[in-house]
Amino acid sequence: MKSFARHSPSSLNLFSGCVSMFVVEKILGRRQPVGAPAHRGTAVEDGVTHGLMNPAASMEECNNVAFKKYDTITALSADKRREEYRTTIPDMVKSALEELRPYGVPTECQKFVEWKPEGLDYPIVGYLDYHWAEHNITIDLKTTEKMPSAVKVAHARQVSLYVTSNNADARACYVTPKKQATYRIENINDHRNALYRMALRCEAFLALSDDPQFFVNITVPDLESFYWSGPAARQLAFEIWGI
Amino acid sequence: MFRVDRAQGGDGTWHTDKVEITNTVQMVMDLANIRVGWINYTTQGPVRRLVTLGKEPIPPRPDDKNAEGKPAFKQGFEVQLLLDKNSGGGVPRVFGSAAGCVIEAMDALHDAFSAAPESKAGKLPIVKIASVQPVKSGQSTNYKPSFAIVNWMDRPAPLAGEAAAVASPSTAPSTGSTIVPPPTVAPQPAPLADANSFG
Repeated sequence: MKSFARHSPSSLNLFSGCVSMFVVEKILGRRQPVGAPAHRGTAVEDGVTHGLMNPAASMEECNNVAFKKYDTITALSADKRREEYRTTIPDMVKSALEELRPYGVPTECQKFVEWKPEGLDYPIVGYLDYHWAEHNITIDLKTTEKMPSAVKVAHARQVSLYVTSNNADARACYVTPKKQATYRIENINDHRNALYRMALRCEAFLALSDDPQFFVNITVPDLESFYWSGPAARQLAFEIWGI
Repeated sequence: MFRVDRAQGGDGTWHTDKVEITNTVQMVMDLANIRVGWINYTTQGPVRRLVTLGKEPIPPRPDDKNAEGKPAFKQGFEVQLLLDKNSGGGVPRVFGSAAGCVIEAMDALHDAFSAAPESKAGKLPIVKIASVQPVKSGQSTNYKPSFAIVNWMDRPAPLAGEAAAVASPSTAPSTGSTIVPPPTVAPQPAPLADANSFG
C-alpha cells in the first residue's frame, strides 16, 4: 500500500480491534471525528506539561493552559459531552500534577520515538509524554473516567515502544477527576514484540493490493461495534460499504 | 479427567464436547516446562499469571477479589501434554487445575519426575492415572488423582516446539498492576547569587 508510511501503537491496535475502521482511517484516509474524552486528554496533557516544566506555575495557570487548548480543539466539535468534560479538566490537571511533580522537571516531553526491527517495511513510531533522564523513568499520562486496576494492554505496548532505546523504567500514570495512580509496566520486551508481530500481520494485509478499493471489497464493518456507533461512522459505513 | 474438544456443527455454530478418559488415558507430559502460579477461572475463561517452574520467579498473587471479597486468583498449574491415540491423540493439549488435591497429586508426580535419571537425560514421562479418590472439601467433593509414570520417551516433536520457544512467554504477559511512587528527588541547590540578585 503506497500511501502507508509508518505504524503507530494506536494504528496497530486499531488494526487488531477493527480492520474495517483501519481501512477507513489508514487506507482510505478518512479520519473519524475525535470525541470529547480524547480532546480532554490532549488538553489535560498540555496543562500538566506546563505545570511540570514550570514548577512554580500555579494550578490556575496550568488550568488556563488546558482550557485554552480544549476550547481551541473542540471549537468545531459536535460532541454533546463537550461542556461536561470541560468541567473535569481542573481536577485532572491537579491529580496529574500531584502525581508527577515529585519526579521533578522532565528532561524530555513529546519526544519522537522510532523503532524499525528487521522484517518490517515500515517503522513503528510514537511520541513519549515525559522522560526524566536522572531517574531513567518514562511515563505516559492517561486520562480516564475509571481508574484501572492494572495497565491496559494497549498502553503497555505503547510505553514499551517508548523505552526501546533508553531501557527506562516504563510507567503509565492514570488520572481520573478524583484519583491518580502510576503503575510500573511489566514484561516490556513481550509487549514490544507484540507490536512487532502485529505490524508483521498488518504489513501482510497491506501487501495484498495497492488498490484501496480492494480492502473495501474484502472487509465489512460490524455496526454494533463501538467503533461504528457514532453517526459519522455510521454514515461512512453506508457510503463506503453500502450497509 | 475429561478431554475437551471444540467442534463446529453443520449450522456453523461451535460447541464443546467432553469425553471422559480417566481410566484409559496415557499421556506424555512436558513436566520440564510445567507452569505454576495463579489462575482466575472466570466465565470468559481462565486468566493466568503463570511462569515456568524453576526458570522464573513466582509472581505475587494478583490483588483482584471475587464477588465475595475473597482472592480471585488461586494457586494453580498448567502442563502441556500429548494424549495417546486411544484417548484422542492429536495436537498438544493443556491440563491445568487450581484444586488443592490435584495440585498435590501433580506435586508428587513432579517430584517423581525430577528425581528420575531419565528426566535429567531430557526424556519426558508417559503418565497414567493410577487411581482417583473422592476428597471432601467443605460442601463440595473433589477427586484426587494419583499419577503414575509408566514409561519414558524422547521429547516428541509437537512438544519440542514449546521447548524451543522457552524464550517466548508461556502465558500472556501481564501489563503491570504495581503502583509505584515517584523517585526521591534530591533537593536542587539554590542558584548562585550574582550582582543582579540584589537591590
